[in-house]
Amino acid sequence: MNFSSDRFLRVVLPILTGAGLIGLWYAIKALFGLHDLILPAPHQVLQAFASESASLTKATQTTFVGASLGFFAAVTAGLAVSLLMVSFRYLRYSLYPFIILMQMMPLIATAAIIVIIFDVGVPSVVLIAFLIGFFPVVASTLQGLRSVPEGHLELFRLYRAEPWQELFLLRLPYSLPYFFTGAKIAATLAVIGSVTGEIFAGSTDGSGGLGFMIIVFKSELKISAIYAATIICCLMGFVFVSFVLFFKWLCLHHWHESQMISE
Amino acid sequence: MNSRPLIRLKNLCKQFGEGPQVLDSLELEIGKGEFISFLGPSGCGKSTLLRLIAGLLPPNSGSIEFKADSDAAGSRSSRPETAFIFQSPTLLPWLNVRDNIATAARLRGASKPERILKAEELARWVQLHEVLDYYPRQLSGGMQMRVSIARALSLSPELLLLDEPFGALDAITRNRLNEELVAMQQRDRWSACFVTHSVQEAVFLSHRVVVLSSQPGRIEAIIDVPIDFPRTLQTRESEAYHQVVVKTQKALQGVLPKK
Repeated sequence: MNFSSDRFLRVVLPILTGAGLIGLWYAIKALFGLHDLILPAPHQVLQAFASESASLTKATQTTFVGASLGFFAAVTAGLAVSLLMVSFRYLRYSLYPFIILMQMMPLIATAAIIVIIFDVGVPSVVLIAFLIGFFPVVASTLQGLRSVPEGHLELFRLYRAEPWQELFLLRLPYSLPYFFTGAKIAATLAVIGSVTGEIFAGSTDGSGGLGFMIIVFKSELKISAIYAATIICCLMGFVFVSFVLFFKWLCLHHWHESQMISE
Repeated sequence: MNSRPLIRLKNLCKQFGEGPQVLDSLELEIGKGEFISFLGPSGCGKSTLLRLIAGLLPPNSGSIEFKADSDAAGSRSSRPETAFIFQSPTLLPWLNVRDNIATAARLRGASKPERILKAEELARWVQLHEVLDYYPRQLSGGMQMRVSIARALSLSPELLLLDEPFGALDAITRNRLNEELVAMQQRDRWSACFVTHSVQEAVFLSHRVVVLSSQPGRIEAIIDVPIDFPRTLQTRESEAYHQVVVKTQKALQGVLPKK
């Protein structure tokens, strides 16, 4: 197959799949005679975007702020803690098992516990988004910092490099691809984390993000609006991940193999 | 060749933990400006020996003495400026050729204009001046090794340690780099310890070839290579060269494990 027709199919096939799924959606609704309160039709979801635009916009902003703050805190603190842990062996021995353990913590449980301690509100949401992203960033960055090939380390030792030179001129750049892997996980989880957080910790005092609005819509039986809010969550996650991928490309495209594959 | 020794290995022994003896009672003097190759079967401790000389590993017993230039009045008894060329080029993939060559100077705190100037000068020597802005992944294996050599030469070392640097390259590139290495050594007169599996390569490059036995690594033979420098393409075709290759080959046969 030649290159240009392959590229054409890469664009067209997903569009066809999307159209097919929407068709399937209508078909299932008609076939089983599902009521609008059980399964609204796609066009009703679109209408909900319009009719609920005011509350959805506000909720989107709230969620975006919560997820952003949590994400940036997770990435910066994660990077800083990784650098400390690779520099101080005893700190690493002490903390590493807990970093791994905390990654296993279920998001829902985290959210519930945070709300019990810190009550509802934006700070709780940010904290949840932070905690859910922090541990993956540390785990993968630390792995990168520690997998510098022996030859490179010997080279730096031979030239009598200072510890800070080994850290910032060798280990840190070497670990960047690993860091971005962690940051990408954190970006995905930040949105999921803050929406989950809002379901527990959102409130009507202006801190009700998309998660909170889903609960409100449910109580008001605005089922198609729940679908609309869910779609916004997906898109926001997509924006977050794209942001990370853009920076990854910016930092790595000169030299790293992962950036040479067209996908 | 100047016969004043730069390095003296005295009864050098190395063993990792409770493992087998890797190197046993090595005695050797390496002259200033001398090119020595180490040949031997796998596991004879050649790479370990280089790491001991480089100070990357401590010996278990025995010592390595360095003769600093006498005018320093013993104030600097430490090892001479040493560069290491590894089996793989060990370039930093996020730096272009220029910055890779300048890495050693950067670690020593040289200013940016100073080290860039030096790097570009070295790049001309090793014919890399046209790829200064390339990244390692864009270079062939031979080119990457050239960058590694340029980086090693950037601090004007007195001693160069080379651990099978051309092992992964094709024969044509390997021969070319051998000739270039000889020319560089003739110009700058550093001492060299060169580890290889290739008898031809060892003979072509060296003043003396040291044959090591394995488990434990001992010096089995030291073979002089009485061929004049500069050595070129014609050297490989000369009768004298072939005689030394055969002689070395026989010495090496003696230490290979019997089947």
